Amino acid sequence: MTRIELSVAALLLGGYALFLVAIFGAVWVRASKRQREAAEAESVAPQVREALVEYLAGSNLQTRIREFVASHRSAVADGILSFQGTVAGSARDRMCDLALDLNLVHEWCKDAQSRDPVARRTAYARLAFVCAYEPCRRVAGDLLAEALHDDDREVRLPAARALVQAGNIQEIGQVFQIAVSQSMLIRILLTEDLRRHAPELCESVVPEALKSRDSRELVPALQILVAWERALPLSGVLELLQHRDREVRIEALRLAPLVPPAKEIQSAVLRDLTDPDPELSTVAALSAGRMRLQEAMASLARCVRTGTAELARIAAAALAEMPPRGWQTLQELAGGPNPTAAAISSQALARARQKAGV
Amino acid sequence: MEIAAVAVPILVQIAALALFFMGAGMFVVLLKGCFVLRRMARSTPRDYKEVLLKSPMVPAVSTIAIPRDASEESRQFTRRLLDLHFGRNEVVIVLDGPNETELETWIRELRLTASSRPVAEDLPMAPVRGVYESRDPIRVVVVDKESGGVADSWNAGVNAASSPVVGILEPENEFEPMVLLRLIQPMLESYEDTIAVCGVAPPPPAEGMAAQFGALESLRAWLTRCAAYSERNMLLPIPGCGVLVRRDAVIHAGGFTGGKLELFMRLHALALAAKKPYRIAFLPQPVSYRRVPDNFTDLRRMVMRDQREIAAAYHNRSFIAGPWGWQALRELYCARSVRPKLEMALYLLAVFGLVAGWVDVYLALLVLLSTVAMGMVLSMGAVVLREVVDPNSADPKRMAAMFFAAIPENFGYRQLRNLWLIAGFRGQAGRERKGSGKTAQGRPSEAAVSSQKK
Repeated sequence: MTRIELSVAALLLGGYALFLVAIFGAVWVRASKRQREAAEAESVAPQVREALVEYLAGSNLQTRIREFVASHRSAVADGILSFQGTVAGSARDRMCDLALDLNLVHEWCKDAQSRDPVARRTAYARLAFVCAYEPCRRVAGDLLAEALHDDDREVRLPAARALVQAGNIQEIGQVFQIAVSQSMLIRILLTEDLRRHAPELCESVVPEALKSRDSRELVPALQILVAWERALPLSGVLELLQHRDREVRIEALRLAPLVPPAKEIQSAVLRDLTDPDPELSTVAALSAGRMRLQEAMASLARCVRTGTAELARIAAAALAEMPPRGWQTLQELAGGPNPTAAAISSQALARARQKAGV
Repeated sequence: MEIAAVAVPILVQIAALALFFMGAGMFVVLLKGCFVLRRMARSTPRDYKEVLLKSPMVPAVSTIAIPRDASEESRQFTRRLLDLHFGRNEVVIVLDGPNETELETWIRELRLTASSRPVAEDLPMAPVRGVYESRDPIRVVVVDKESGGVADSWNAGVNAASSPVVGILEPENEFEPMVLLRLIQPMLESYEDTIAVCGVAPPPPAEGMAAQFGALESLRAWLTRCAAYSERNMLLPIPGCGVLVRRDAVIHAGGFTGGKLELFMRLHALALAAKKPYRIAFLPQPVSYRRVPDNFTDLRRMVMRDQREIAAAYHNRSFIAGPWGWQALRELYCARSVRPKLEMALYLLAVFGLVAGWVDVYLALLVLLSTVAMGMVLSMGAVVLREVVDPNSADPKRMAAMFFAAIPENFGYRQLRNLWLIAGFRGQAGRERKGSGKTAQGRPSEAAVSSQKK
């Protein structure tokens, strides 16, 4: 009996071991090959880049680049892509034209239909860069617009970024809608790209989005606007400051310093300073400071005296933003009977003075 | 005597077969881990750390440090935390009952000044003696509190944290400066559902037997406890991992009762009880890993520390996670408690039986096959499977060195490790019985888990 068990166990383990040794051999060969290829690519990459830089600098000699395309096609594609974010205008167009000339763009369009998700993603990432150039866009056709509805997020994202770069306002609006409706990661990644189109978007796309009755759409839209951190020609913020959903109100309060000043908006911020919800009043204090709301000084002083420690600190920081009256108020609070308020006020005052070099 | 002559070979046979099947089960888990990692490698999004670094929309993170003392090593660790690349990273340092000299050292080191900043009391903790902030333009908060133990200090750190996400990195880990940016990305993919992210990869192979054995240990844990368990959303942290966890989730869980393992069990249990979709994401990238041990003393410390944490979680499983405690820990319990005990008992019985003539040479070979040979297959399998997942991970020479290190690992070290595991588990059990554990304060009750269920 034991001998049978031993034989079975030995057979099974032997089988495992043989299987593992075989895989080990295969993996070892593959790893060695990859190591060689990586070393080669590492040595070729600077030469490819050098050739591309020469081409960008005005040289029309493509012989060297064509040689690289024949021997290290992927290295050339990576080299072209490495200029993303560093070249713009005519230099970028020249680079895209080269990719078109070398037949790389057609190849990437073909790869975009691949079943291999990694190949597709790479293809779209490359197309996203070159499609800023009109002739390349013509070759790509509707690929990018269709990719906006792809199941793979890593395909949707480069397509959306490419459309923001070179699309018309309708397409950019579509990207804004995607940013609003998808995950926070996508929102963050698209927000920066959309920022430079803020004025056009504020004409129709954003006001339309802000009319939504669904807080799940409103909050992300407001988050994008706040993250743009730039003056926005927007109206209709007052309604959002009075919204029934506190999350919407909080984001609208954050947005208040970025929209054209209006008496009603200032009043809404002042009102929220005294709101019993500590988060709401804290954000209101933050906005009051950014808006330099002189009318808010009394409320801010009260927040320093009676608010939660977090609110008191923010209110003190807001007062510190409004010299000389804000500083005077802080000085009075620093000498007051409430030890916490006094400590917070003197710290805020000291920081403000240090910042101002006084 | 006659009964023993019949019973011993039968017992040896049963135990050997049981160990063989446990090993086979472990191999299946390793394979599962490999498939999960392979799938993740194909679907993992690109790295967007440059964009995330600049975006104001990325949630702020409070990275908590619990330095044991004010030594150079501890100070260097906090400096490493302050050097992390992240838009809004605040470092919260909790000093657990420091003496005057230690506090003075920290004040000098970070140019601290007393602060009026409040420390919330969301979680139970020992009384806070003072809060300090730096005069330099660095975002650091130091909480000086009465001594209360490690779990108590973590709770104080969470209380003092002002960010919605809390980062947990440990001094014995190697982590890259971009660790927070890399860890936050899976959280942002599904911010509402993701309550924690655990990022870790096996350490890079190093020279020396102790280092190789340590690397094999980490590799097996990575493939099983992280990768394979993450498939059924039951990920449990391993030594060396970097963790991001939502502050509100920690507070909802009642805070730390021990280490990260207990916290994760509790998070799983509460989320399962609430029957809401949740996710604890796994990032299988070398953002953080445990340093490989330099020598066998270091290796022993590493194994024992992990074992004690598992043992503490096991002994408190129903307390921490109610009915889900056993579900989360059953495989770990088999691998880390039952198997070493059974294996050592089997060795003793087999040797005794051989000497007495009750165990024949075939049975002895079966014992070796189900322990030593199975161990080799598992370790070699882990090395090969890792390479299948990520072909760019190591150079062939180092891979071969690790592959063949599985042979000496199972002759001598394996048996020694079994003794460490048994001692680690028993030691913790003793500590729990005496009630002198560090976790007594603020431990969430079973009723809390049950009430979630209702």
